[in-house]
Amino acid sequence: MEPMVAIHGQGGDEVLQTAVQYGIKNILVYGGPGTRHMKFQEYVTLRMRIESFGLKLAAIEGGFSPDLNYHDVIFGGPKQDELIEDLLIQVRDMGRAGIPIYGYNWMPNSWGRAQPTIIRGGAMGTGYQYDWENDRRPKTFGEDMDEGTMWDALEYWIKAVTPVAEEVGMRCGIHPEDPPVPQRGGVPGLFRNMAAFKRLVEIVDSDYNAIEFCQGTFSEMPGEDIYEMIEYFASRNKVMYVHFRNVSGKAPAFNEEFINTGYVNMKKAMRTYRDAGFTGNFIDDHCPLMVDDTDFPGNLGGYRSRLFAQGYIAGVIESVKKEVEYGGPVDMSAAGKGASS
Amino acid sequence: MRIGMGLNSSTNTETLRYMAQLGVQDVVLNTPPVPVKNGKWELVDLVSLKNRVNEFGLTLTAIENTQIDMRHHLIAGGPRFDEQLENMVETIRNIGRAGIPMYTMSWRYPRFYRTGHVDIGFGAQGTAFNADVEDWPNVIDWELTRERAWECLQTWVKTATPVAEEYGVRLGLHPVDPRFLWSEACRSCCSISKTTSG
Repeated sequence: MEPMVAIHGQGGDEVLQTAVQYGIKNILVYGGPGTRHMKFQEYVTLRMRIESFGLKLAAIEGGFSPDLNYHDVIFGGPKQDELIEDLLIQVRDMGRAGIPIYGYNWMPNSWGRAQPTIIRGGAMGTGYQYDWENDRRPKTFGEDMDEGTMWDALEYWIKAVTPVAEEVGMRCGIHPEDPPVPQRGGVPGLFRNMAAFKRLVEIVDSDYNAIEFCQGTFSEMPGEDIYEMIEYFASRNKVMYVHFRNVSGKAPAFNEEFINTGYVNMKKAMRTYRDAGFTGNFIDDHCPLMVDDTDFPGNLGGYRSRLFAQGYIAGVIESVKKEVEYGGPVDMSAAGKGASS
Repeated sequence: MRIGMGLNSSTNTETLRYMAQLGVQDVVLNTPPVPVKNGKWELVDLVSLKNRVNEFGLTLTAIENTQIDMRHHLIAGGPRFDEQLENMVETIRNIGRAGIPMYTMSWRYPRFYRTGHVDIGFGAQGTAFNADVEDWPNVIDWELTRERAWECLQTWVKTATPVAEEYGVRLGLHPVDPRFLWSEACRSCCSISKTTSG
């Protein structure tokens, strides 16, 4: 278990240098297959650039599903085979270039939020209210899309991509529907609960058909127990890596929180990954917007906000690892007493 | 145990709001910008300093150091020793009256310093100290023996501690950093007064 920093591909030297100074070895880059083909050589160049800092390109994360050109892959249609063939060329290029993990999603509407919430000290966390969005959002494709058709198209895709992923040695996995609600704009949210992911991993039983485990989204799922889902999927080696962020509660209404103020006990979550035998990486994913922050070439949140989350993640990982080393919970109060006497 | 954060020579809005957002509860102000009036810090200024921190939902837990020219004769046994002793004791009283529970200081003159920086990888820099390369500045223009330095420290602790107890201010000394030259004096301070205010 190690921390990982997630950046945009065009992020400059500053962010990679910062990762080295944080002591973090793993980099995730947002990108991957889509309308703009990145070629084999470009993936190699990207990997080598990151390696030149002594870092590892541990994953690429993105998703072609919100791109309207891929409509027929998501919903089935006349261009389905042609588009999948094109995507598989790109998947092969990534894998051959030495990218070990590709995380994508099945969300034609991408991820979404509604009204933000003011949290600790006047910082801003994203918020979501199902009714608020539902009242305002038009039908994305002018009609309600059929969930059964989407599952059929998904199964078709999984059966096509998994053998290719195995062949080139690149694990592929799907991000949950965020927010995990039944539909947005008439498009069903397929991956909105634990049952959907059980169904996914059973389509093809392979380590290369896995999950981009956004713990933030899993903990937003109504009626589900976050620790149970971590245990279930991590112990089956279905978790590729983790989006380690915290939220106030579950759909239909929640807001994103600072990593140490949400409802999930992050230390308990980290122990659950450890005990399930998980050895992958953790990114901070989204961070709240903080006062006068500096732009970070990645997902939500600037350098200040991200530094807080990354320091916290490194601390939690270290403490749960040491529990094993010392054969039980570590009594940190002993250190404090020693220092003050 | 709570997380505290220090702020040096300032109480700027950006940093205090940043602390509040980080979830910090306790603020430690080092050499805060309190005006020096007749060699002392006045109660009214300390109250507004505390209010300033409280505005952000934070607690002013401790002050580290007053401006150095309020106490350099006190530390290094200069000709204005008695005057600065009296003023510093009055300042401790005012800190207590304002409801600030701790005051600590660096018992050395000049204060904390380093001789340079070293690269610790990928452009990060750590401060460094090397006694051999230091070109020692001449900071006092009076005689100071080791015995006199001890005497100053003892006088301060014995005079200030009863006042601090009365006004509810815990006093403490920062270890000498770098641990050099004044380090013995610091150790001795702990042995002079072992009360909670010492």
